[in-house]
Amino acid sequence: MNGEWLLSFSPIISLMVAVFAQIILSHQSKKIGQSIVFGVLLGLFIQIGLLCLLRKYTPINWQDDCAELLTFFSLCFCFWAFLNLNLTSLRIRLLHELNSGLQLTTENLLQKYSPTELIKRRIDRLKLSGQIKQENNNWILNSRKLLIFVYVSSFLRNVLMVNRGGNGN
Amino acid sequence: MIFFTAIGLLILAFICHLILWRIRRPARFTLAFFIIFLIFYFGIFFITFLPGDIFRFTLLYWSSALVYIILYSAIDQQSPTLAIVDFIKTHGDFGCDESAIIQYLAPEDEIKKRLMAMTQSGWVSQEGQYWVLTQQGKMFAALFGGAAKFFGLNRGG
Repeated sequence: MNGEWLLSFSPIISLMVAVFAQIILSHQSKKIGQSIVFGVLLGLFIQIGLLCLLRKYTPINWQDDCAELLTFFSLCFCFWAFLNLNLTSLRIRLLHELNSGLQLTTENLLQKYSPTELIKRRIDRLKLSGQIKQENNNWILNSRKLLIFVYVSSFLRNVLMVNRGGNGN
Repeated sequence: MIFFTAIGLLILAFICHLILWRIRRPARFTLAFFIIFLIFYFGIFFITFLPGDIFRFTLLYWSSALVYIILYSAIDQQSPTLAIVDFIKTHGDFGCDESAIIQYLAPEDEIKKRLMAMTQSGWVSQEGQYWVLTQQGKMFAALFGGAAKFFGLNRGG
C-alpha cells in the first residue's frame, strides 16, 4: 500500500486502534467512560504518528493534516454516539425489553418504566458523574459543564428553528 | 484541496438546510439530511480528484455529515438530562428536591412517545394489546445487544 492510500486509510486505522483499546479496557475495568476517552486518545496518538511518518513518503501539507484529523474525530464521535445509544437511549432499552420474549402491553411498559424511575435513573447518572450533589434533601448543581450544553442546545434550536418538542432521548 | 472542498460543500449543504427548514420543516429530518448531503456530495464531480483523493474526500464528507445529523437529533428534542440540569439551575444555590423535578418533567407519555416513534420507524407493531418487534426491530435489537456485549456496555436507558 503506497503512502497516498495509507494516508487515506489512516483515520480508519486510528479509529480501529481506538475501538480495540476501548473494548479491552471496558471489559477489564468496567469503566465505560474512561475506556472511551483512553481509546480516543490512543487513536489520536496513532493518527498523529501516521501523519508524521507518512511525510517521508508522500507530500502532506497542513490541509491534509486538518482533513485526516477532522475525519478521525468525526469517526470517533460517531463511535461514541453509537455506544451512547446503548448506554442512555430509552428506545434501545425498550427494544431489548421487547426482544426478551415476554409479552408486554403498554400498561406493562408504563409500570416498568414509570416517570419516577426514568427521572431517578437520570438523576443517579448526574450524581455519579459529579454534575449534581444533594444538600439538605435538595439537588444543586455541582458543575457547570452541562450548562454549556444547555445554552448551546437552546441557541442552536432557535437558529435551526427546531420545533420545541417534549423531553426525549 | 480535499479539506476546503469538503468544508465548502458541507457549508453549502448547511445553508440549504437552514433555508429549507424556514420554508417547511420535513417530518423525517434524517432522510431529508441524507438527501441534502447527497446532492451536495455530487459537487465533487466538478473537481478533478485522484481515486485516493475521492476516497479521502468521501470519508471526510460523510463522517462530518453524520456528526451533524447526530448533533441535530440530539437537539431536536430536549434531552431529559439537560432539562433536569436546566431546572436545577433555575433554583440557584438552594436547589430543589426530587419530587419537584419529577413534577416538572412529568414524562408520563415518554414511553408512549417512544413506542409511537418506534412504530413509525418500523421497529415495532401492535398485535392486539401486545407490542412485538418487526423483523427490522429484531435486527436492531440483535445489533445493539451484540454491541453491548462486544463493547462491554451496561444497558442504560
